[in-house]
Amino acid sequence: MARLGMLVDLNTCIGCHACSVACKAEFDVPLGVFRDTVKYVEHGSYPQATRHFIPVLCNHCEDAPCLNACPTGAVVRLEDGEVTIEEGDCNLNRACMSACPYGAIYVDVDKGAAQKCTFCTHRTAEGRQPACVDACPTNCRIFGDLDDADSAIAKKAAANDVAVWKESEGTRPRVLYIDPRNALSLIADAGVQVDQSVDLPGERA
Amino acid sequence: MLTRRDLLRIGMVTGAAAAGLGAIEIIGPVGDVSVDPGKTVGAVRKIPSMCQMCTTACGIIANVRDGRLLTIEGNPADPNSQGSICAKGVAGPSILYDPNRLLHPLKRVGKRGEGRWRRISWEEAYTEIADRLRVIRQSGRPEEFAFQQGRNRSSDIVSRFLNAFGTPSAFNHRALCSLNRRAAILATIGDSDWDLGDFENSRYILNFGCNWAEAHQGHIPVAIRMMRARERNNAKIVTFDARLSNTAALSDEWFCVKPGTDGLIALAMANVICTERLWDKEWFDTWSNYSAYDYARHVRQYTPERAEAESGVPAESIRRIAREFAEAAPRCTTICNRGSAAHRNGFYNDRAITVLNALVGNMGRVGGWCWHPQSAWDKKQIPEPAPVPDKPTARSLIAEAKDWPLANAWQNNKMRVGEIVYLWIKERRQRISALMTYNCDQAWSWPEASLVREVLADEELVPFHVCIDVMPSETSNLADIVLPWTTYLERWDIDSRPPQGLVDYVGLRQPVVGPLGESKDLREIFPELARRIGGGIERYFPWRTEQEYFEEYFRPVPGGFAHMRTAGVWQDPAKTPNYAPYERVLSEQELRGSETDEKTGIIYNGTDPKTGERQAIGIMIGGVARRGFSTPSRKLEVHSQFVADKGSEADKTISPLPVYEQIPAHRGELAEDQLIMISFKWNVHNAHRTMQSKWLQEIVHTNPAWINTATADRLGLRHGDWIEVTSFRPRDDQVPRGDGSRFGTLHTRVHVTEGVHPSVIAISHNAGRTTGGPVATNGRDRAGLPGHEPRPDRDADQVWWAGSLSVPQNDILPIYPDPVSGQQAYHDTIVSIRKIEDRA
Repeated sequence: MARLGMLVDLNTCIGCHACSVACKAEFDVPLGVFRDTVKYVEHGSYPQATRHFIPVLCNHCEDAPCLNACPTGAVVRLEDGEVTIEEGDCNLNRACMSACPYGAIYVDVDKGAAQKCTFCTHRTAEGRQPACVDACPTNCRIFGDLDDADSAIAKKAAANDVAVWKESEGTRPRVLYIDPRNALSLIADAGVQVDQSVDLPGERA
Repeated sequence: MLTRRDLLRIGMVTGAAAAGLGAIEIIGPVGDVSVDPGKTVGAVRKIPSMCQMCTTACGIIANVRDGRLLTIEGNPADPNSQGSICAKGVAGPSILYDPNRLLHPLKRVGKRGEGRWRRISWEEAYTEIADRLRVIRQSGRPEEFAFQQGRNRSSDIVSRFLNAFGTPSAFNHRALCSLNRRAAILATIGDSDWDLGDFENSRYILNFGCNWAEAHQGHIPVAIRMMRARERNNAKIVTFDARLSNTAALSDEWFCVKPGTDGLIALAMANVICTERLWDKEWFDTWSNYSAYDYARHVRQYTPERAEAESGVPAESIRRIAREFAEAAPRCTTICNRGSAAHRNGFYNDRAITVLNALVGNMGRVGGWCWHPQSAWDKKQIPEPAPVPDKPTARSLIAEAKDWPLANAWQNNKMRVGEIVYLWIKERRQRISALMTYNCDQAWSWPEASLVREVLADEELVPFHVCIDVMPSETSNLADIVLPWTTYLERWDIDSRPPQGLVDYVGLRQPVVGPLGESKDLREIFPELARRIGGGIERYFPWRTEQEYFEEYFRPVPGGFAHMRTAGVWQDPAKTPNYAPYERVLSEQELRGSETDEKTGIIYNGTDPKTGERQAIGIMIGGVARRGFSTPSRKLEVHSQFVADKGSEADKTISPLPVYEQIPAHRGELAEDQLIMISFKWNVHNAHRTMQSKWLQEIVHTNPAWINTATADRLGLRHGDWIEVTSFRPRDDQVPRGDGSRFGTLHTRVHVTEGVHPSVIAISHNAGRTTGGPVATNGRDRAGLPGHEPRPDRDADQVWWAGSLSVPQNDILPIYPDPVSGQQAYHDTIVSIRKIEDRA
C-alpha cells in the first residue's frame, strides 16, 4: 500500500498548459469542465508586477470531504489512496461537488456521472506516470509514494518547504507545492473549474 | 460524414502504413482497470514523428490504436526537445480530427470571395492548375507564377518544384518574423544567423524581449534548458520587455521598457562594462575587428542616464545588471527576439545585444553565447536526392526587394520583404498571373491584412489563386481553387531545427494515421503537377512514392529510412558541440596551397565556386592559423563595412557600428490619447491553425487590449470599456507611404493591468478570424463547410466562449519595414484611443 501524491514545483512551472491539454486528451474531457488546469494570477503593482502559474487538480485529500459527503458511496478511496468516483454508483446528487473546497468535481453529461481527476489510475496500473506528469516539459510535477522515503517525491518534499492549497480547509491534500512566492494564497477563493463569466462579450449591446 | 469510400480508403492506407511502418510497438498489459479508464490504456502503437504546431518541430510520439490517433507525447530521443512538448503539441489530435477541416478540393462558383463553392475532383483540380501554370511557363515569364508560403517545414519539395518550374517569385514570411535578428547575427559572426545560448550551462541570462516560455522558434527546447539552469546552476534570468509576458513573469527580474529601446539599454550596459573595465579586453582585441578602447569611445554617448530617460529602466539598475552580467562571464549569455528585433530600429538593437556578448568574452563558450553553422540538418552529410534543379534565372522584383539592402544581402539567406508583397502587386510592380498560397493565411495574418484581402479579391491583379491549407481561412475564402492539405500528422518530411545542444541532428516527420478525406500533401501534389505541366519539370520527380524519395534521402543515416521510421531522429555520435569554433587550428591539409594576406592575416585557399573570388579559410592569430569567423575580416565584426557598403549600393545609410536610432514617431511626448501598439502571442497559440483546436481555444480565445492601470485612469477607462483604436502610418520618409496619415480603426475592449508599459497598448494577434467553424471564430462561423457533407460535431454547441471578444489586430497594423532590412516593425505603430459607448 502506497500513499500516492503529487508535488508541484512552482519554481519551474512555465505555465504552458501542456498538463491541461494532456488531461483533456487523455480523458476526452468535455469542453467547459476541467480535471486539471493552470491558474494565472497577476500580483503586485507596476513596475514590480508579476504573474504566477499554479497547476491545480483534485487534491486526493487525506480527509476528503467529497468522500464523506457522497450518500451513494460512489466516491471511493483506492488502495493507494487515490480518491475516485464509481460512475455506476453515482446518481448525480452533486453532494460531492458542494463539499469539495477545490471545485475539482464536475458533471459529465454524456456519462451521467460526477467526474474528476483520478491520478490516472489506468496509467499508473501500467507503471506509467499520470498524463499531466508525463506532459510537463520542465518536470515540475513529481508523482509517487509519499510514504516511501526513497521516492523522488518524498525526497523533494523533505528537502523543501512544501505548502498545500487552502490549508485552512483541513482536508490534508496529497498534492503538495513548492511555493517560494506564496502564490497559493492568491487563489484561496478559486477552484479547479474555469470561471467562464470573466470573458468580455464581443458584440456591443 | 465521411463516405463509405473514404472510410475504406482510410482503413486501407492505415493498414498499409501499419504493415510497413516498423514503429516501436509497445504492448501494455490489458489489465482490468475498474475506474474510469482513459484512452491510452492497453496496447497502443507508438509512432515517432515531429510536431508542426509551430516551427520548433519537437520530436513527438503518437499513440495510435486501430488507425486512430489517441494522444501525443514527446520523443525522448529528440536532442532538442528531449521528450518535452508544449500544450500545442499535446493538442495535435484536436487539429487532426477538427470537424471543420477541409477534406475535398473546392472550386469557387460566382465571384471571388462570394463564398460559393462546388466540390471538385482532384483530377479536375490538377487539370485546371496544370493548364494555367503550363501557359505561364511557356510564355517565358515563369516569375508570373508566385508562391506564398508561411512557416514552411517542407523546404526541399517547395524549392524543387519552384526551381524546376523556374519561378523566383517565392514569397515567405521571414520579414514578418526574424529577419532583423538573423541579419544582425550574420553581420556580426557570419557563421550563422541564429544564436543558441548555452543556457543549460549558463549562470546569467539577459533576455531582451524574447518570450521563450510561450513562443520563440526554440520555445520548449529553450525553456527546459532555462529551467534546468535555474535548478542546477542557480542561474539568474533578467528580462526586458514592454509587457509582462509569461517569460517576464518567470524571470528573476523584469524591467518594463518602452518599445524599441532594447538596443539602447544594451549599449548603455556596454558603456558601463567598458568604463568600469569589466570587459574581456584580450578576447575583444584578439577576436573582434574593433579595438576595445575604440568601442568604449563609441558607446560613451550611451549613458545609463540617457537609457533611463528613453527606456524607463533606472540607470542604477542598468549599471547593476551590467556588472552582474560581466561578473558571470563567460557563463552568461543574452537571448533576444521579436521584442528587440521586430522594430524599425531592430537591426541595430540586435547588433548592440550581440556585441555586448563579445565584450565580456562569452562567444562560443560553455554557458555563453553560442551558435551552430547548421540551421537544420547537415546538408553535406545528408544531401537532397539528385537530380536537384538549378535556381531560376528569371528575376522577381518583389522577391529581390532591393529597396531594403539587408533583406537579401547574404548568399543562401534570401529573407525577402514579405509585408510589401501585396502592396507591390497592387502597385503593379510585378505582374502575377497565378498565385499559390501554401500553409499561410496572409489575408488575416499579414500587416495591412485589409490590403491583402483587397488585392486577393481583385481578379485583375491576381487572375488565378490556389490555396492549399488544412482548414478554410480568410485567405482560402479569396481563392479560386482550394486544395485540402494533410495535417502534419498525416504526411512525410525531413526536418530539424538549430540544435540547442550545439550538435546537429535530423528528424523524420511521418504519417501517424492515413490522410483524412481526400487531403493530400505537397509531396504528392507537386510531382503530379510537374508531370502534367511537363516541359522537363517532371524529370526532377523520378520517385514513384514519397517513401521511395525518403528512402534515398535517409540512405546516409546508419540504418537508413528504417532507422528513421523507428527512432524518428538521428544524431551523428562522432560530432561534438560547436564550442568556440573560431579557435580551431587549421590542419596541414587545409593549409596546403594556401596564401596569407600580410596586412590582414586572412588565409585564403582556392576559389569560392559561387562568387569566383578567392576563398578565405582562416586567419593568423598570434602566429597560429585558426578558422576564425566567416565574416569578411574573419573576425567578429563589431564594425561591419559589409552592411555599410550594402547600404550605399541602395542609397541608404547603414551604420557599420551598433547604434541606437530612436523610432521617429516615439520622439518626445505622445499626445494625451496616443499609445504605442504592440502585438503578442500566447503560449497556446501559434498561427491560424491553432485556433482550430478546441483544447487550445478553450484556454485562450479572447484578446482585449492590455492597458496599464495608470494610463486607463488618465484616459478615464475601466476594465471592459469599449474603445476605438485608430492607427497611424509612421511619419517616416524612409518607409513606403510614411506620411503619418490615419490608417485603420478597430473596436475592442480594455483589459486593465499592471503588466504593461504605460505608453503601450498590447493586443494579441491570434484572434479575430471570421471563418473556420465555431471553435476558431468564437461561434461566428457556423455555416458548415461548403461542398462537404456535414460531420458530427459534438463540440459545436459546447463552445462556451462563443460571443467572446476576438478582434483582428493585423487589420490596423500598417506596413512598416525597417528601412535597412525590411523587417516589419510590429511594435512601433502609434494609435489613438477613444472611449466609445457600449451601444453600437
